[in-house]
Amino acid sequence: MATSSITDVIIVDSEKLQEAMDKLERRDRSKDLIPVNSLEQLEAGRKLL
Amino acid sequence: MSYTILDLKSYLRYNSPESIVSDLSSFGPGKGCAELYLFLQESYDENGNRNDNFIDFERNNLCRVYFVLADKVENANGKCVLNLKSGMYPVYGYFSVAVKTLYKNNIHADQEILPRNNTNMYLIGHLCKNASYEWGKGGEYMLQQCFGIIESAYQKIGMGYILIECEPALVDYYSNRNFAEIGVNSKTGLYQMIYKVVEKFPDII
Repeated sequence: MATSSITDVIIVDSEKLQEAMDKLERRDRSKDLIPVNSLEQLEAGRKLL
Repeated sequence: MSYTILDLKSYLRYNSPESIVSDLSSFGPGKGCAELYLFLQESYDENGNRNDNFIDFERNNLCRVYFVLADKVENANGKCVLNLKSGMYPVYGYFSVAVKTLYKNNIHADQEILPRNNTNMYLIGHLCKNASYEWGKGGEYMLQQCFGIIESAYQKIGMGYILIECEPALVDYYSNRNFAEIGVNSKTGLYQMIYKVVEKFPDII
């Protein structure tokens, strides 16, 4: 990953993008990473300041 | 072991931009530490141009930066810690999240470039676990923390996908975790991959 990702214009091939989106619709959902409750941890982090 | 997330925006509300570099101490040899230090301090390229850093991004609201901190320690032991008023906290990793517009490149010449030809996604600009610390599934944990932040934004404002740009060596890692490749950044050589936002509590239909 790079800092340039944030500032640069990103151009993508629309067909590849659509293919990837279709692939993700058919994904093995058991491999999904379930988000953790980051907001609680964020609140705890702010209390350290 | 428990973890806490500290956002750079909140840190800067109470501290000067310069203090974040001095508050980070005892840098270990890990790649993550060196990059974090570089992204936070003022630096210049070989042509004398000032490099963008996390402080600039925060000030300009281009992204948000988060540190994942572990429990307070008494002794840094040469590893990367963030010194806060209440003590020293090991920095286990960091990530940045932004919103990015992706421009689609097969628009016909006679077509106007309209908003429908572009798409917006969340961007994980950086995601790094600190190599100075040994922790089993640290990378996955960092992703789950990052997804937690994104999912809360998703619930409020929408947008269903996340974009990352990663080094070729990490393509398999992300592919095995349900990321799908969409191309290669011609400027940086980084692989572009997307992930569908997963909800913490999906609706039961």
